Amino acid sequence: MSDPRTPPEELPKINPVATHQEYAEARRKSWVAVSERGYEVLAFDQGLAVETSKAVDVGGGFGVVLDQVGITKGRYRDEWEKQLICHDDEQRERMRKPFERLLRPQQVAKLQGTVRELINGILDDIEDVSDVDFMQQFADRLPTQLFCRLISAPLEMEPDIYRITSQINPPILTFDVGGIKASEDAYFEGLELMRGFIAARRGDLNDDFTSELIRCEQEGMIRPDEVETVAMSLLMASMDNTMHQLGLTFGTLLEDRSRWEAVLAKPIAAPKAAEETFRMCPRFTTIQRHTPTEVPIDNFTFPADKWLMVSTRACGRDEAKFEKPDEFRLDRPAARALQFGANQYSCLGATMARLEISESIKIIAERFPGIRMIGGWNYEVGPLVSECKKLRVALV
Amino acid sequence: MPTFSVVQRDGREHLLEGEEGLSVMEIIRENGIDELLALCGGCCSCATCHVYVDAEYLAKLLPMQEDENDLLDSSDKRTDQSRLSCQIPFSRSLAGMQVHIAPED
Repeated sequence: MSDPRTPPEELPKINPVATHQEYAEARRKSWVAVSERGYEVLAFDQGLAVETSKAVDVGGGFGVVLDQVGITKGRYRDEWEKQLICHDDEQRERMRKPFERLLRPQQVAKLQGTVRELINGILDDIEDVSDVDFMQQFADRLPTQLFCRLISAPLEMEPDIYRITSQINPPILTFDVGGIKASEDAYFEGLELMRGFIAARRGDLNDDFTSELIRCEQEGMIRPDEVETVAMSLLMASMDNTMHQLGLTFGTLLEDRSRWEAVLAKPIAAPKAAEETFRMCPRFTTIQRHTPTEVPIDNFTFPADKWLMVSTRACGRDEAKFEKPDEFRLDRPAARALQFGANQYSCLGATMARLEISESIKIIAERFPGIRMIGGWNYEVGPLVSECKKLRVALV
Repeated sequence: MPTFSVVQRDGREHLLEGEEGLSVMEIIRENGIDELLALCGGCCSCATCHVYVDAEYLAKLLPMQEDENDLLDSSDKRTDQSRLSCQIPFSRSLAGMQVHIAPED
């Protein structure tokens, strides 16, 4: 543990994309370390304390990341500035309200039947069950089909929706500057698409998400121009992250047969299995916070105007919180998935992602208990997110 | 082993043996009742394990924390007897308790 007055130069240094062993070595010296990007929080309890602290903010939000990939001005930046993740003020609070209405857990729970139907349909579509590209043939499809269903888009649009969503966020989240032009083009293509859906729905409201957004506007919750902004948020954020977490979850479960056997022994524990994979292999590797003033956490005081990086990979392997943290265990006491953030900065789509992933585990365990990895898998760990690059499986 | 009962939305009642230390949510799910979704696995993050607890047992439960209170606020079906079952560690003092799975919003 560090002394509250420990100057940064005396804290352990860590690479933002360190190995689990490097994190463990640093954590033995202190729960807080420093990297080129700021303070790195390496232990679970303190990571949770940072995320739930009312004294931290997000330092203006996602604009910091946009700056780093060169989206600093122009119409693309203007569009991003409308999104709630670029704000840390009352606009953020206001823009969260329609999401809270659409995505509140009780509403999401009602989608269980739809999600199960989609999963079964996607599995039925697989012709050669002995050699399956899990990402392309399953993980990429489920969130895309669910999005189509939620906005009442015909399923034939699945390839276009997938192409658009998979081009907008990934270059930004992985700092791939070369992909920013394609990201911008995809954004505006998606915006035209969403405008078309909204315009068509205005005279024919039903119970889909587009209709609910229009009702939010009619009730004065958001302005007319913000309907398309919220719709774009859903297009950008509701698919890509879940796709990769599906890959990371199944990769984690299948790389060690005993993990999958544990799932098969208790399929009703699928939500716990999903949480355990979020701990071991989270999509979001860092939750970024900022200190507007000095912020004391535990026995350390973070100076004002600094970046705090909650390293979810490090915190998830914290020996002080998780006994034998490298082991997959369904009987661990429940612990928050730090990748979803907390308070006014929590992930609004977390329950939806949890539903998609836990139902996928349950149904695949029921229908294809003999699923196994073939040819290994690989994923890339980045400073903000991990991406599942390859996962081939045999379903039987 | 102490027991408590859970009543499903359709009125079916089940008497469950509860292992002390497990949460009421875990005991319900481990007995195969998946009407209680409990999507977050029990970490007080999703409000899909909402139950109504017998009034006489409410005072025996650990006090509600802010995050549980906030999550319950998102439900149209919240009552004075509402709790998230993942936040109720089962113990002998709760033997005989009856919980109802809250209706869908």
